[in-house]
Amino acid sequence: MSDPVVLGRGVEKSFGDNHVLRGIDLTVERGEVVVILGPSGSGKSTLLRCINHLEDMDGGSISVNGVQVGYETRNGSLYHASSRVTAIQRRTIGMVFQQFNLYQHMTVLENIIEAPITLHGVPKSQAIARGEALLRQVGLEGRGVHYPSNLSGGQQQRVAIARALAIEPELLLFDEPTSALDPELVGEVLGTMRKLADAGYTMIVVTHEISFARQAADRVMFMSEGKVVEEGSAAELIDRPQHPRTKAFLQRFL
Amino acid sequence: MNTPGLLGIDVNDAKRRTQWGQWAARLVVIFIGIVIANFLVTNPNFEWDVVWDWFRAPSVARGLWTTVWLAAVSMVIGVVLGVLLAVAKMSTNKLLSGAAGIYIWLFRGTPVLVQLILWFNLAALLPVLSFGVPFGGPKLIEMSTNSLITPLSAAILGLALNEAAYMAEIVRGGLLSVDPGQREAANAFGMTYGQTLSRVVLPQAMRAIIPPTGNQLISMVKATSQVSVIAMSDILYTVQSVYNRTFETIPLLIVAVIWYLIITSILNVIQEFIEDYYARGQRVESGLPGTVRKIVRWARKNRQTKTSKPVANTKGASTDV
Repeated sequence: MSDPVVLGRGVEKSFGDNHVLRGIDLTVERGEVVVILGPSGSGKSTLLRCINHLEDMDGGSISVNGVQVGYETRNGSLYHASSRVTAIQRRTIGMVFQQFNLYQHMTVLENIIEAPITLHGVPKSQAIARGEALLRQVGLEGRGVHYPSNLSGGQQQRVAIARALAIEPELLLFDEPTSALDPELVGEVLGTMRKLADAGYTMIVVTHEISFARQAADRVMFMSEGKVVEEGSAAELIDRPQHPRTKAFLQRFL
Repeated sequence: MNTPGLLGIDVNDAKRRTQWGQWAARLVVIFIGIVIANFLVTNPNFEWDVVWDWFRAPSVARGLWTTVWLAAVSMVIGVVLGVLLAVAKMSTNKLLSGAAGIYIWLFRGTPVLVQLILWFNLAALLPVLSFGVPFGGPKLIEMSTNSLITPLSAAILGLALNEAAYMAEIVRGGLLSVDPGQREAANAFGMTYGQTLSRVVLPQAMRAIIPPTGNQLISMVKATSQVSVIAMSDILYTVQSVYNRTFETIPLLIVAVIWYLIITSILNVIQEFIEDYYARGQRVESGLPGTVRKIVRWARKNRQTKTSKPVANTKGASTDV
């Protein structure tokens, strides 16, 4: 198979003196689930945020379905895109955040139908029907009228997943989706994500959950100090790590 | 000595202490209340019959109306300008944010009374106002400042421009109070800057913006009294012109006091309703806002005590009194 959704080459990013990404290459095929592992500060979240241009990168290129988000080409030259063009480029990429970031002033259902209605022009009745189906899918049927603050962290994160699915995304980005959850709530979120993986969504997941990588990942990348030090199938990388840093990292989870 | 044993005594049997301090405070407050009530009723200089007559007078009603709509118009302009200034001040464009900063510094740093008189006397600085190409270019519209600056326009200019400076800081504080993750989520899903502001950030900022804005509106109602110095016939100017004629100074000032209190009280209740609306998503208990809820609860309780006897106090607080 070669139908890459995400194609990144030589991605560089610094925050001041801190060189966070040091030439990352990344290819994600359609329907593939890629899990990025690595210690804190290895640059995994920054890489994820460069993909939809929430973070401005300093070098290299990333394209999503052939589009460099945050840039446009005119007459063969690359230009920084306006914020409006960037916004439109982002609309087929769903994202799930560590802190959920559900819109606090909207009900659960309003959160889900917001982007379809205001950004994708879906008729309201259709968006509501699809929103309710998505709530069923993430196991929160009948919770549509609640406000996010009245739900548990795990429930909020599942709503956030439903919100990301509502835009019928070409690509789903997960930025440490279980790191802010109480341990007993992690399972319900990972379970929902496994179902998405089985359903064929293209996903990039930054996480510390080795078990999720083992069960759902088509490919695992291990990052350390701004570089991909090792990459392969879950079985290869987790059970037979080659690089000493990967070994040291995985040791802590045994 | 009473030795209660290992298990101790049920705290439910503990006797309440008599709270002497509380009772002393109650007595002092009641005493002061009686003194004030006595003063209000027995002092003939209040001339309550005169107060009642002027309270309903059409001329006072017209002054009241001027006060109300002057406050409303100035507030609306102030809020709109304030939002623009707040967005400008938070801009990454240094020149824009600097200019907004200077505006706020200038208008917050000078008394509104001075600003009102300055606007009223603008003709002395700029005899002719024109609109056209600057630095000696052709002029499209030209008129004398004196015909443009009336007490009304000077009052609106003074109050609204001053208000904008305060509202800018309030709106900015509100925008900053919204979790940056909210903006980030809106951006990630592809909302434009305007959509993010109007659909995600501002509705949440309102929770922080409404209470101080309510205070500002109440301050604005009171600040309109200062336009009496530029001969704008608000309620204060109206009662002043009456008592300059009749010398019923105190009764007429009381009329103004009562009307100001009525307006500000109504605004308080409206503010509670609006606060309640924007607290959605944060609130556990739903229902009516504070003051209204208190009144409803009080009315319900009164109705209940008429029909049924109050429930016996089970807490054993008989030593309280």
